[in-house]
This record gives sequence, C-alpha cells and structure tokens, in this order.
Amino acid sequence: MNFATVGYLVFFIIVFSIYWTLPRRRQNIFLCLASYFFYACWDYRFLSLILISTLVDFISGQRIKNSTTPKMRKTWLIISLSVNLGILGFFKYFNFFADGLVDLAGLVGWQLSDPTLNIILPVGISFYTFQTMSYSLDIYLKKLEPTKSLVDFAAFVAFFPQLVAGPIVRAREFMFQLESERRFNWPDFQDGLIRILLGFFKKLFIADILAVHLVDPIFADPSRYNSSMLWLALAGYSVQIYADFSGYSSMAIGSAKLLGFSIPENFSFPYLARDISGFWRRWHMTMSRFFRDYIYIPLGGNRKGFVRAMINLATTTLISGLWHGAGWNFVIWGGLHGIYLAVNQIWRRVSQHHPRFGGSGKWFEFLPAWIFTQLAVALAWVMFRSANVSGAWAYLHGMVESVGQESIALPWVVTIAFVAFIFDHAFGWVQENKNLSQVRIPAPLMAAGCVALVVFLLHAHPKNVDPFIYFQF
Amino acid sequence: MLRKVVTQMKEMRTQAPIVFSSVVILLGVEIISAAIGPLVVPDHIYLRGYLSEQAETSIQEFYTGASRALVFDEVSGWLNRPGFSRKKWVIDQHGARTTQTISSRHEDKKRILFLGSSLTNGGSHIENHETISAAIEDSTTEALNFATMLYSLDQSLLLYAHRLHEFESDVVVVGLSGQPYEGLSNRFIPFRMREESNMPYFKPRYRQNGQELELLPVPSKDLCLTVTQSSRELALLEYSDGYFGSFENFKRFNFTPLGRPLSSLASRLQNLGSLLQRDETELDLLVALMHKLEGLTEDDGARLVFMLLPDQGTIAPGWRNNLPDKYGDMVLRLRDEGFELLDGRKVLTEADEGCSRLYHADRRHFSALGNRIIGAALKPML
Repeated sequence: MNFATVGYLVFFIIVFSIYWTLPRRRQNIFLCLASYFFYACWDYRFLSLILISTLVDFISGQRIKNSTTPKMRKTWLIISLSVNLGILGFFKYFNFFADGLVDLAGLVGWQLSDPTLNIILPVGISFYTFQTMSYSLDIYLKKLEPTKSLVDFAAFVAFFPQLVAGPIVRAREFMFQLESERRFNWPDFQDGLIRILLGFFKKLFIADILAVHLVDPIFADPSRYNSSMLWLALAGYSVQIYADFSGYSSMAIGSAKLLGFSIPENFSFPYLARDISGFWRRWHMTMSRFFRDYIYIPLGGNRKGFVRAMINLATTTLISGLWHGAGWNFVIWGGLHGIYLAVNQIWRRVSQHHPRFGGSGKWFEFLPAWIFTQLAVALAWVMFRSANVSGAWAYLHGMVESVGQESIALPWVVTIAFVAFIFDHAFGWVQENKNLSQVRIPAPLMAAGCVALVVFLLHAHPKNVDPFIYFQF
Repeated sequence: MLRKVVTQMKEMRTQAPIVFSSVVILLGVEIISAAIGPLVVPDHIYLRGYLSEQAETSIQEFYTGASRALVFDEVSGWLNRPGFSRKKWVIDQHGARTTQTISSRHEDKKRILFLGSSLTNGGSHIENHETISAAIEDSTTEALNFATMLYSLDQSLLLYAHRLHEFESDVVVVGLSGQPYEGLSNRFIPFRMREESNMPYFKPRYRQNGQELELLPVPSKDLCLTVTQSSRELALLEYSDGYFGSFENFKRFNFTPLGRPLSSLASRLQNLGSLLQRDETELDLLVALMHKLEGLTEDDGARLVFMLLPDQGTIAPGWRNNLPDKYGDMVLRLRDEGFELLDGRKVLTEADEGCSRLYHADRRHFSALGNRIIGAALKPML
C-alpha cells in the first residue's frame, strides 16, 4: 500500500478514526493489527518474517537483561543479531554473494553451477531488521530496559508509518511513547497534516515529475543523449531522490504525529552541506546515526588513531553502501563516500594545523567547498542510480564526452519542479541563518497556500505514481 | 452531539487555525467551482480541459479531411476511407473489408452484407481473411463487410438506407455489442467515452417521439470543427446528447479535491446501480431501430440477421454472475420481437475454449479463433 495512493488515504482515515476512540492498551493492539494489515497488503507471505524478528528480539531482550553472566548476555545478543542478519542476508544478499562466489571461482579456474534462487525481496526488510537489532543492542549496552509487553514491542517493530522505508526509529525513542497515554490534540493534528501535505508535494510533484520527464528516459538509454542532457538528468536525479525519500519521511512523520507519536527527522536540507560530513549529518540522518552508533563507534571510531579511524570509516561506508542494495554499484557508491569522508577528515586535520587553510567562514570561501561537495555527491549518485557498474561508467563517460546527440524538450512542469526544490532549500537556508522566531504568517494565508497546493497536486501530478525509491531497499 | 461538534470546531479554530481556515477555504472553492464556475466560464473552455490534446488534434484532422483511415459523412458521421490499408487492415474501393474484389452481382453467389462496429469489422489486430465475414465465405457465398469503427445501430441503419442498397444483398447481418443500447442516445463520442482520443467525432442519433423516430442529424462540418472554440454546438448537445451529464459533472466537480473523488464515487455507484436493476425501457429505442432496419431490408428483398457479440466480461462474469442477467433478458426480448438472432454468448461458451484464446487482449474484440467460431455458428443461419 503506497503512501501516495487513495488506498492509503482510506486506510489511514479508518485507522485514525478508530484509534482515537480506544484507550491506550487497545490503541497499541489496534496499531499492531493495523500495521500487520498494512504490511500484508504489500505481501502477506512476509508477515511471518516480521513476526519471527519480533518474537526473537522480544525474547532476546528479556534474556539479555536477565542473564547472570556476560557470556550469556553476549550469546543472546548473537542469537538476535544472527537471526535478523540471517533473514536480511538470505533475502537480500544470497544471490549477490552467490554470483560473487561464482565469479571468484571463475577467476581461479573453477566452474561452479549458478546457485542463484528466485528470491523476492520483502518490502522494508532493511528497515525493520535494523530497528529490532537496535532494541537488542541497546539492552545489551544497558541503554534500555526491555519491555514486558509483547504487544507494545510488536507495535514498535511494525509501526506502519515508518515500517517500509524508515525513518529508522530506535526503541528507546519510541517504546516510552507506546507506554504513555496519548491524547488527541489539535496542534499535533495540524502539524501532522501539513507534514503529510508537504510530503505528498515532494513525492507526487517534484520527484515523480522529474522521474517521468527527465531522469528515467535519459538513464534508460544515456548513449542517445548529449552531455548536457546527462548532466541535467543527474541534477534531476539528485533532486528526485531527495524529494522522493524526504517526501516519504515527511509523510511518515506526519502520519505518526496524527497518531500521537513523535519520530525523528530524517533530512535537514542536505544540499546545503558545505562538506561531506555535513552532508551525512543532513541526509538519511537516522541511518547515519545507526551506522555511527552500532558499527563505527564499536569498531573504535576515531579513538584509536587516525589510520584506524579511516579504516573504520571505510568499513562503515562500505556496509552502508551494501545495505542500500545487493549490487557492486551500491558498494562502490558507499566506497566513494568513504573516500570523500576520509579526504574531509584529512582536510580538517590540515586546517587545524594550518588555520589559513580553514578559511574565515566568508561566503566566497565556503562557496567552492559547497560546489565541490555537491558535485562529489552528485557524481556518486550516478553509481547509485545506474543498474550496474558498467552502466554507471558509461554514463560518466557520456557526461564528459557526448556519445549521443539527442536532447529532450522538457515540459514546463520540470522547471516548476526544480524551482520548488530550490524554494525548499532556500527556506532551509533562511531557517538556519536567519532568526525566524518573529516571523508570523497569518493562518488564513497559510491555509490558502495549503488549499492551492492540494488543487495544484490534483492536476499536476503524473498519472502513474512511481513507487518510492527507498522501498527497494 | 451537535454541541460536541461545535465545541470541537471552536477548539480547531483556536488550536489548529490553519486546518480550520483550510476547511473553510476548501468548501468555498468547491462551491465556487461547482455552482459559479459553470455560469461564468464558457462551455467550450471546459471542453478543452475535458478533451485530451490528442482528441483536439483528431477533431481538427478529421473534419479538415486529413484523417487517413476515415472520412466525414454527413449522414452517418464517418465512413471507412476507400482504398485505405494499414498493416493487417485493408479496405477496398467500396469502403468494405473484403477478401476478394467485389464488382457486379454474381447470380450464382449469395451476397451477405455485414454492418456494425469494430467487433464485426474485426479490428486492426487481425487480417481480412480472419474476420467473421470471411469465415462464412465459400464458393457460393461472398461477403462485404461494411462494419465501421465505433458504429452504433443508428449509424448502421443510416449507412444501409443511404448507401448500401446498390449492393443488392441477399442477407444483411448486423453485429451488436453486448450493450447495444448504450451508444444510441449519444451524439458526441467523448461524452460517452472520454478516453476516446482517436475518434472524438459527432454522430447522428434517433430519438423516440411517441411511436415516431425523430432523426437528429450529424452537425455540419464547420460546427464540428469549431466545437472547442465556440459553445454554440455544445448548447445543442445539452438537449440532444444523453451523455451530456458526464460533461456537466466534469465542469462542476473535476477541478477540486473533494468534488473529483466524490463525483467519481457517485459515478461508480451509479454504474453499479445500473448493473443491479433491470430497465426494460433502455431496449425500446434499440428495438424500434431494429424494426426500422428490418423494414428497409424487407423492402430490398433481403433477410436480416442480428449477431450479439458480447465482451469477455459477459462470457466469464466472475462475481457479476450474481447480478441480474441483462444480456440474457435482452436476448429473450429480441427473440420475442421476432428478430433472427445469433446469441454470441451461447456460441462462445459452448465452444469450450479459454477466453484468452477467443478474445484479443482488450477483452472486447475477438481473436481470429473467436471470429471463426462465430462465423461457423452464423453460416447455417444464412
């Protein structure tokens, strides 16, 4: 059940209407059942995986807490991680590693038969397995007490607004909300609706318009088009993936708010970042912090010397790339960002020792840094968007040296989509750099804007809604 | 209860002023769009939004004579362009889909004339020799297939009356769809089929005036050409096209977030309602036209046979099996009226072939196999 559909709207209205008539305990049960129904609409067969993950981690959490020896605690943690990573590994990575093994064997002269299976990737598996693992890990690290209620835990794991594509919510941010009384209040209702509307606009208009008219046609066959079109399509994809994912996150956050829950932000105007570290503090923030807290820091972070820090960084970004997809292009994408972060770290060390390289913070000094950062991010997106590594290289080659000669006459809506994105980030810049606390936009004016947005969306969105990009992960 | 609602509204106004103002503004927009807009904005402006760009282009091309496959006809609306061919679809110099050159009348051959829509014509996905008309041909029978895309019975009748006497046919076979009454109250095709962008044309229609049939002819070419530039013809259509209501709904409810889904829901419920109820009167005009055609063919000394050609949903109705059998009722009524009738549903069901083999992917037109089976059932009746 895609968020940007009438079906989800009807589903949510029904859930919302019933939910607020129930007392807290029944709310949690109802939420759990509604979330399972939501997931079953994608594919009912994979409900079993969520149930397994839920049960294993619920029990593991209890056992970790109640274990009397460190060895037992570790054992239960390993069980939890093994089950979750095992499920994830099988459904997502079996064919990738099987193909890799065949290729590797071929390199040394062994001919292995193709062991790949016809495995369907369950929607949201990368997200909910991370959430359940974070529960076990936080209990093991003594940052969280296990919950006694299986229903509450199941509701946390399956919470439908963020089940299929995040934000990745940690148990310690959410469980207490499930255990607290929730009362309907109009301000949250208003905020939630506005978030959902903005999310719809980003997804249905900005992302889908760019996909249909610019990105998909050119990435489908880049050899037909000239360099300018390839650069434009890359810019389009950079905007599309941001609008698509942040739009989804916005809808998820808004939906959660309408149900009385607060879940963390996932994006903070990432294309304002002046360096790559800044980019990752703004892009898919909940995933970044997950990898930081559960991989980078446990590996030692930057506490064991510069070289070790670089190795930890590379490991983390490679795993992050692999998390996005079972393909070498994703691994390379992660590796590229690892290199970018390493370069950034080196530059910082140089700046610390040689302050004149650090700059004085004036715009003409950070403008090149901004341009360079965004260019690096955009070029990495080629690897992310392309079907495979060879396709990505061909695209990059085409950007430098025109292979084809064609260009596309773009409809006016593409320009509007780009302008809307610029407005979005301009608003972010103003928010970060100016004091907006005294600025009050009258409610009727905001309301008129909202209604205009709804009417605009009704007529301007593409007829066929593309699936959310991050659903494939 | 009312007090509770009022209290909640007051709370919304103070605590969620944007939502409250949005609701008020939205209701205002809905009212303006539904009630005031149609009074202020000319109909032809709405029509430009109603029709796709392709439809507007098709209108221009057709009424200026630039359309390749069809030509304007002041009697029936449009005709197959004689001599036109595209891929599998070949039209001869008379405007018919034939397998042999038809010239003067052969006394030792029975001549069968086919009329109807693309269901009888066969459509562009099959060859001429794979049509129903080709299936009944042999050494003693020749067939001329004058069936034309999107024709309703009224157009077939007018075509026969004005242009096809000269062919001196022995039998006239008229193909009807599973819901042949649907096109009879329609004059402007897009009002009945908004998605039709290749043939958004004007057609004639008959209207029952007591016992008499009143012909509303095809509008002039100039009026047809200027339909998106002037509201003159649309004003006429308001009273002469039974499907004008769909355009009215579009004018009032298409542009707003509440109006469009509510109107769509109402339309679906209406369609469901029409499936659930039996309405004898919807067949009256059809029967009257069939009798009129019968009179014309009898005057020419020809027999008249009708074929009912249902779509795949009628053969394999699924859950609709529990709904009233309007197709079955129609067969009974038409047989009671004394018409010679081939029941396509019976023929295709008894053939015991899967629907996917009998029908084209569009689930309405027949495959070559489907046409052969119908032709084989039709032949003994001729």
